[in-house]
Amino acid sequence: MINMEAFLKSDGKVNRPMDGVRNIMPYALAPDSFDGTVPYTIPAAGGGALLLKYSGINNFQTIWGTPFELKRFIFATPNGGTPTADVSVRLRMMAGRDFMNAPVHIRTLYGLTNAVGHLPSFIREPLFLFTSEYIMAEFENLSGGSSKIFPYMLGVQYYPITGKNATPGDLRIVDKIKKWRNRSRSTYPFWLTTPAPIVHAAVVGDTQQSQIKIADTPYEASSIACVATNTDFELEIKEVVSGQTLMNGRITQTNGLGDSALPTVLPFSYMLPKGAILRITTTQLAASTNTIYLTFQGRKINAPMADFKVDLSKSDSDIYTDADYEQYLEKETIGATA
Amino acid sequence: MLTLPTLLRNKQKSLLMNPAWNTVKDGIIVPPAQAIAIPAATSALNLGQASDQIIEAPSDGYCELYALIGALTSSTASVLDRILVMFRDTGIVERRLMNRPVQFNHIFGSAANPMYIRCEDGSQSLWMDPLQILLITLINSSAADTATASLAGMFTKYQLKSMEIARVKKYVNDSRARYRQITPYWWTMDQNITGQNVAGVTIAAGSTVDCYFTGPSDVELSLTSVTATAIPASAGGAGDTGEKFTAQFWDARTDRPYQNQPLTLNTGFGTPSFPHYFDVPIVVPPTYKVRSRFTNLITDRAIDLFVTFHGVANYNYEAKYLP
Repeated sequence: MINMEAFLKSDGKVNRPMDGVRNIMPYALAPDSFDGTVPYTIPAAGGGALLLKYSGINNFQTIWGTPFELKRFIFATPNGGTPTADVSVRLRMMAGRDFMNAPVHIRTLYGLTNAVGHLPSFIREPLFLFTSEYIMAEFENLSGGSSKIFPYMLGVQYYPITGKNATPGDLRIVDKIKKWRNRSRSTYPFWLTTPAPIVHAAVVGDTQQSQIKIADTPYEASSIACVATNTDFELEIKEVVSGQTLMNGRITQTNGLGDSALPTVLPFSYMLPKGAILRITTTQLAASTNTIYLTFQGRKINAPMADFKVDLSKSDSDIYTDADYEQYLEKETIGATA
Repeated sequence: MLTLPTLLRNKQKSLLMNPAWNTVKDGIIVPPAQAIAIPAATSALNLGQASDQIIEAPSDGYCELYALIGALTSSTASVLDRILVMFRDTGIVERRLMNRPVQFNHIFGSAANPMYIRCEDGSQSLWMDPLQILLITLINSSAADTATASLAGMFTKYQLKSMEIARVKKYVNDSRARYRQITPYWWTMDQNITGQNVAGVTIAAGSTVDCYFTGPSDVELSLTSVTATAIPASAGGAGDTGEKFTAQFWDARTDRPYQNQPLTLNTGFGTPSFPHYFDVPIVVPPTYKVRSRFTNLITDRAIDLFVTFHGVANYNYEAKYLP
């Protein structure tokens, strides 16, 4: 949501726009090859992926270029239909940074439009896309025939002005960009999902486990989104290294999971240190097959988290080494690992 | 908006209900007529107009109107997207809250999802002093049938008795001062639907048109969201009948774009219940323009397109604008 007060400065009597404010503009970023009228076609399942490139605005008029701040996603399908296809998405910065541990379902990432409303998804950490940088998006149909989409990124476009023409407002913009550029080196949005979709047989009580290991960068989960072919299941989420659980018992899907447009926001962010292992246990409540795509929305924070290491330690403070991790798994007698 | 703690501690450290709740309350405010009859247009240029509706603030308190709810009915469904509305605030001088009458369906949300004109984002609610009047004009631009409208607003009432509470009094005084500078505002395009004096644009099948939105000469606008409706000339048709059109916007003064590629109806626009919010406001100084280009995606039907921006009008425009 906009905070417009930031754009109005008050001298105690009147409110007036901050100078330089017209150098900050809302912006919608579509993939480079989009002509606006023909949607993209994602090949049928097994037919390969659709690879799209979102480029930062190529403007070298100023030393800072014209950065784009990505804040939301939205997509639609042609003819106004509710997007229902099972499509996976993987986002990568071409500097080699991944924004997800595995491809996520499009409806746990890209917001939603349908006859009822217009609901872009928000991301936990804005992402600055500087001039000449670009993000690759890989869309792949998980089942069925080909599908068509209009995918957009929504955010803010900055036109930083420096030099003798710069106003105090312009310099504030430059200062903000500098700070975010530094911040983005260690903190960036990230989507955490199960290594593969969770698949249930058509048996009431069928139980499956899936695990997500946090690798070498701590993770902050702020919300949860889910797409399931059958919503009649219950789940439990547990961090097995510390033994912490997110619930005191199993909850039904409708009580704990949203989608990307209306995710279940965690009242307090769930911090996961490096080496943490999330175990997700799901149990089918209806006699029908089910495929569950579960995504945590949040951000990676590449910073020392010594305090969390202490908090999560049981007795072995070096539990984060690979050898100890393997040993730990054996003790827990958990099935296949992520 | 004013936030009041539910509980307070007295000198004896006991917890008590905040007495402010006795005098600060939320409620629903409606015009006297529960069902407002809107006659049909008699010709393309003689639009049907209902008698002016009045929403009057209560006599015993200040009224902060923060959400709008409306419902339309008609025996002919196509009429529902042809109803227009104009707000005039008689509080200070008679201020129009929009540059031209805009679509009813771009202003009023549903009971379940009202259109919030002030959220926690700092945008502006409609502030009304005791007995102040808001005039609402409803217009039918369709000759096909009559329509009936029901209106309601959600408001917070600060009873005069609440002025004894310093925190409430300060909020009310600040809000009244602010409202002299800033009012909610809806902004639509300069063009007319073909053959009618109605803000909108008619786009021939598969064609592209350029339109302008011109800022009023006496206020500067900060726009926070946008809503659009496209009405095909008849049902069906070839091409993309769901997305209907694509849109592009530029700041006309600098020619800076608001997108790198065109947006479609469902990705770039919303409804009053779920508007398409901008991540930062679009700031339009007095007489500045926004240029737009729309392409009809239906290849064998013309469309009538209505676009409404929502934001605030700032009556102090002495700030410096760069570029």
